[in-house]
Amino acid sequence: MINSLVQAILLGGYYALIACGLAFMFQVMRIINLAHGSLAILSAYIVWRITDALAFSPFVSMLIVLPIMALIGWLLQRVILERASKGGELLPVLTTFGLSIVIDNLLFQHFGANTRSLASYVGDLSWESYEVFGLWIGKLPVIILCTAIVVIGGLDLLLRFTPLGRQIRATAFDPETAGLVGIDARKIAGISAAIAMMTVGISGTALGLRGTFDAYAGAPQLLFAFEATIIGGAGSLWGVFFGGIILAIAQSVGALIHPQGFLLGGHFIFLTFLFARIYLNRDFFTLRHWLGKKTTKVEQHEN
Amino acid sequence: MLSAKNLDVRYGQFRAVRGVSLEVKQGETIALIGANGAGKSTLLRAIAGALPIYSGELSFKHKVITHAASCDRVKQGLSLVPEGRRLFTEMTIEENLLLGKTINRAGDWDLDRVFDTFPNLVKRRHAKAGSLSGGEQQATAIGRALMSNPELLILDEVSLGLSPLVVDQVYASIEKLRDAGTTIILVEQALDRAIAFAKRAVCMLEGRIVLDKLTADTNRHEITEAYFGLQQSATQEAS
Amino acid sequence: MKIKRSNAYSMATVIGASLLFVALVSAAFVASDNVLERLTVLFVYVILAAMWNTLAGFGGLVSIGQQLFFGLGAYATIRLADFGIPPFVAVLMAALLVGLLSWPISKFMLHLKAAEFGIGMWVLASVGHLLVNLDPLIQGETGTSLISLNVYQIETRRVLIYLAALISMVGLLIGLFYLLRSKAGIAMQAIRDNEEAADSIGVDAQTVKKWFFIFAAFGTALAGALWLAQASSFQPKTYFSVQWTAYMIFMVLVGGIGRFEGAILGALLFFAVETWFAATGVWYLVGLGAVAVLCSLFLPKGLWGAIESRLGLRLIPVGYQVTDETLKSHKP
Ligand SMILES: Nc1ncnc2c1ncn2[C@@H]1O[C@H](COP(=O)(O)OP(=O)(O)OP(=O)(O)O)[C@@H](O)[C@H]1O
Ligand SMILES: [Mg+2]
Repeated sequence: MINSLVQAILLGGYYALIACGLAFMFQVMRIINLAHGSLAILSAYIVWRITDALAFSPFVSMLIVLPIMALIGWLLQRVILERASKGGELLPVLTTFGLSIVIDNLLFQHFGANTRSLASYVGDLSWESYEVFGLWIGKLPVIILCTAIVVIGGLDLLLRFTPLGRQIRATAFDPETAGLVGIDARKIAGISAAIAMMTVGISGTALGLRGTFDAYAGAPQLLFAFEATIIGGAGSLWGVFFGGIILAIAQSVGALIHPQGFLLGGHFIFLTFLFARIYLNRDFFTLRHWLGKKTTKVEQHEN
Repeated sequence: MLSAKNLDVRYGQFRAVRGVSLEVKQGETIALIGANGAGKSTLLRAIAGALPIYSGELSFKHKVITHAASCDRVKQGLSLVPEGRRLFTEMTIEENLLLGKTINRAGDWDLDRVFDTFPNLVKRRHAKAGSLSGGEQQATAIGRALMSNPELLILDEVSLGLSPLVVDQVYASIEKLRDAGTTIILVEQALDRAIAFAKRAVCMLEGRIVLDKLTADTNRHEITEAYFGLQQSATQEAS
Repeated sequence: MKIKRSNAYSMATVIGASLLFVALVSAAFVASDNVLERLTVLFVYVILAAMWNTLAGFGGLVSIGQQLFFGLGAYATIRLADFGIPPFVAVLMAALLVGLLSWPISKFMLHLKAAEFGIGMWVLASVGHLLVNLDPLIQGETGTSLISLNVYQIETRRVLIYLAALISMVGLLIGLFYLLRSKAGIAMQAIRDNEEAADSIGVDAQTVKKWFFIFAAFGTALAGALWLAQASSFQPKTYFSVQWTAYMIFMVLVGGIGRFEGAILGALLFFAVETWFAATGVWYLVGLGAVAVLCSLFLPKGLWGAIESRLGLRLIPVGYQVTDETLKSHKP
């Protein structure tokens, strides 16, 4: 019981990692990127390719992939999102969904139907565990959880204390006025997308290390990220962190109830939070409400 | 310094600014006057780049900026204090001011000087802009615009919603700017104050400029007539 | 075919469509098996495109989860047939039941905006899929078949399914036509452009959206049930696949979102593309995705929109021209 809880929290670390990029982009650009999961899989494949071809450690490959992902993010913003978001709020949904189909099938075309994993490239790390109070805690999941904390903490600090973060918050809050004080909204959007895609690169690597992936694994990753974001209240990155953990716990509870209940448990908690958000006090069930001022909020219009 | 030729600005089909031409010389102070809905804010926002210009040409310091992004106009030295202040309400005063420094133009405006000019802001430096009084908010908005060291400062209804005492303070500080040689365009509903402050009065009616004279050459009566045009129904609103 | 024969006059469209309908009905008795089966597929595509267009093009609701209704329509048919209900009755009842179920779903989901609604529907589709898997009748991902159809001879069955699909398609298109021409429908196109303007016309956006949502759910479920009848086997994974929504999006975006004729044109194109290129496997899907992205960015009104503005051609007047003017006169 305790063991499953611990495992769930560790899994939640992965969800937090994959969700934070989605939430970041949503907060800053008001866009939910439906290609988010597919891009994570894309980065996982690139990491795998580099690792396999050059015999690097996946961690080194990831460092190589991060700038690639940043470039992809910047291009995504410049080529697709910028144009799409001018056409209203529905167009980004359609274009990013279309993009995800392109990415998924290109990956399938290129890498075939076999599942891949990065686990075999990190040797013992993939199964090594710490023993704590009689519980076996995998080293790798702990690393992933810590990475999630570092990434989210880093984004939080960036937003709060750097000039860039200030400009990002200002643009998210009121793009027009941001322009009037001299902020280049296009540049900020490009940088934000690049940052979001770097987190996607990290989470893609984490996914590959944790288990296996295939070309069509993007969709579930998108749904997990989306669910964690909504559960976390979408307004705060730390909220998203706890959203990921809550999602993972609900999934484990679901799995305990019924052998096929893993995903259903997650969906159920997601719908509950959504229900609460809609029908109760808007904030009541979100972590933002409970954690209040302790979490960072990226300021935004609520209208 | 600023030259607008035949500007048209639209909201969808609606022409809010119609064929406006305006020349602003270095060091000039212009009061833009007009009834509610005359198109003053629309014109100023288009000049600052917050609204697209439908047709016509706009140039600033001999460079055409008709379609330049608003941040590029700030870079050139054109800064707008928008109507309603438009502060980043969940950030502190200091953060709001620092955002004004995003474009780091040469000049002597910095945090210290803004705080010198608006001493009432000092003790609220780390307060959220949303929690400020109207006067403090207005001071912050002006300070934020000044941080970019503008050559042309545009002020849209800076005294709106402020008590007479605070209006005096705000005006005292922009008079200092005027006397230091900053070019200023300002929208002011209080006619006497506008005439007293500016050297030139430009009056708009239904999207057009209907009067453009030095304040010395005109009088309250003439401006009031231009202000109302033929529209008698606007009388009550204006008082 | 319809496009070539008709011209800008809607009267001609009505005559052309009626002739086409008669021709298609008679085809049931003369066309080869293969042609009948392919045409059935085409009819289902037209339904899917028209239903997604109802939702997105007219209701401004982009759902990535319409496979929920497609899958549930098929599942409910299996379930009802298992209770001993004759298969074709089961098809219609299944669609009605799913339509009914979509009412509470609409209550909940219509609170969400844009992408949240889109992915939220996707999550619901996943929930539907997982719940259907729990039904022992379905045997998990192994699936089951609509055995009760075997009471018909294979030829009769083919003709019956063909006619059922044809009638469903025509019925839904006519239904959509009248829905769009109703006051609510005209207002809906106003909502798409400007919600406040719609309010000023005196239409409750939320209510109209709800009806569009339910109509689309019903139609999509009917398509799913018909697909099941044709394919006869039911594997949850296939029916609840997001691919269905991807197809719908492709058809509507390419044909012309928010244009009645656009969805039909899109379905025809998709049908042709599928017939010719499906053999290329994955590249074909890459192409679909890419074309959808390009269309939404560079051809926002789709092919039909381009044809319309080029030639001033309008086959089926559903009233959006009028709406535009109404809107303008309502603007301050
Ligand atoms: N966002 C908008 N969309 C549509 N019409 C607008 C918009 N903003 C302003 N208008 C219209 O444009 C016209 C000019 O408005 P504007 O705000 O420029 O007037 P103003 O002279 O600044 O008035 P005030 O003294 O009230 O500030 C008005 O008729 C107004 O209704
Ligand atoms: Mg104004």
